[in-house]
Amino acid sequence: MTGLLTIRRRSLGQLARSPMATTAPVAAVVGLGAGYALVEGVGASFGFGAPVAGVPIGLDAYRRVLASPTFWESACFSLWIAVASTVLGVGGGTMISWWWVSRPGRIRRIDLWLVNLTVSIPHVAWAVALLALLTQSGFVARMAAAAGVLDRPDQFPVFFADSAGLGIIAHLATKELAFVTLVTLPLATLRARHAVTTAETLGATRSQRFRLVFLPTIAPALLPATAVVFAFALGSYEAPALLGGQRPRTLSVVALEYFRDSDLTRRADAFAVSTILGVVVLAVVGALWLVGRSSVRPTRRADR
Amino acid sequence: MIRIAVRSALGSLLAAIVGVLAVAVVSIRWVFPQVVPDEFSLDLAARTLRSPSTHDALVSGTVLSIAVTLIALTLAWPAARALARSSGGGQGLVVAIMFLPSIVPSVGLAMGISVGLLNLGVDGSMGAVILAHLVPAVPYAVAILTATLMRYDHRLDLQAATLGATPLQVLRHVTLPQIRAGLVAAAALTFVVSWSQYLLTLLAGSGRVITPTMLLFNATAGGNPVVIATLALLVTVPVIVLVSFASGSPENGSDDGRVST
Repeated sequence: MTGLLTIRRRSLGQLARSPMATTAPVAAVVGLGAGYALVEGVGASFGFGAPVAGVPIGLDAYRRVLASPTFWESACFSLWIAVASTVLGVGGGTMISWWWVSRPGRIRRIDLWLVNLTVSIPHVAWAVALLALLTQSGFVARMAAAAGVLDRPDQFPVFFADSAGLGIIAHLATKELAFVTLVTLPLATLRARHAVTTAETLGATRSQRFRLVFLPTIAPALLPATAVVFAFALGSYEAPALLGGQRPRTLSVVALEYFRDSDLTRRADAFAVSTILGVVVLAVVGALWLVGRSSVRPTRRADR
Repeated sequence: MIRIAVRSALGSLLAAIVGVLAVAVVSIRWVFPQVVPDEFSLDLAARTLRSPSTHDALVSGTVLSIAVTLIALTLAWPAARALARSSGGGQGLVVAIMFLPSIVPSVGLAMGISVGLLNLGVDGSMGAVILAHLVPAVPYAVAILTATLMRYDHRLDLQAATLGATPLQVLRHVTLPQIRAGLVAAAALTFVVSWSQYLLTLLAGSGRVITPTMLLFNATAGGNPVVIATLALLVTVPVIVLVSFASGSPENGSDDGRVST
């Protein structure tokens, strides 16, 4: 009510320049797009809406999906890939940021260029290149053969269409590592470098500087980055579609196959699978938020 | 020492990726233990690049990504200015909304958006794909422009205005020259976000809007290795050029290591 009165008192020009009016277009495009996708998807999984017209309303899609013989296999495979690539990506990215902070001297433009490029190369092209490098008759296997390490292609480890999803993890982890580096770098260089140097002067050991100074300082960037990276790994389609095999398949690949089925009940199943993925992401984001609340606060207080 | 190790690890990975693709483009016969192809030819690569389907994909992919970039930057500009200047008061909500496309699983996002476009009756058109791409592209534009404008001293604008400059003159002669590097980075990376999309383009475009990235994905299913490598380079080279533009700006490579993404 008070808000309404305030708006009335303002002139139109002021209103047009207010932060709310200027951010409204982007909030509308992104919020409506993603929010609509979310609501439509969850609704369709319960049988609501035009995309699943004629499908009975209720929990049928979830029952069908959960009863499918390959669901749990796919769920475990997806979770394994998401957790493994997130751990490698976040761990690797944090280490690169740490190394850059704990050494004297500036960050070279070429380093930033390399990191930027690793993030930006399209996933489809990245996957194709990994295939060219790491298949059993790929470039790395040929180098190994030239070095006398192996004689036949089948002596080279299998990275693709395998049951452990090693190629998919390698793909996601390399991209995520660069992303995490990029996201944590501003805080690392602007705030952490100074704090780490101060701690060192005061006699903190290397491990103390990393745990007690560096990590809490970059946490405001690291925790959201971890959430984004996990959500991406869990829901991504290109890497598992190109680098994975027929079994096990990730839930994202299964969801898209259901979605493109001509049978509309399958479409409800597709949205049930993607809603399940969303719930897992929500749980992880919630957990990271709780971690952030307990770990970020002391640094903020120290800032003031 | 470690820094050199990190640089050479990432560098050699990228070099290997581009190098292997480049060699594969010209290889006619490349039997297993050979590190270098037995026979070279540019014929098939040239034919792939000259084919009508590649030409069409290149045109529609470029038009699409340029349109997405222009619209995203136009929408993001006022929002970034507001976000860079003020604190609190709905700012948290906008930032949270910008996070949404990164948090919603991308398969779910693509399926939901395509159903939305279907309901609007516009799916399968270029406009539909542009709308769909804006959802992941706009947050990038907002993030980079906000980071750029946060470092910009707004008192310069006020000074110019006090001296009698019109808002347009302020923008043209004061603001834009100062933030050109950040603007270039925002444009380049927004273009790259759109250029890279596969799933969103496939579903929003109902398979009718074909970009180079989609052509590459389709070719991987049993396509000729030379064709695949050629298309992979076609997709990657513009990205390398644009990222070089974006990270070549002094702001991004400055001493303090600030980056705009």
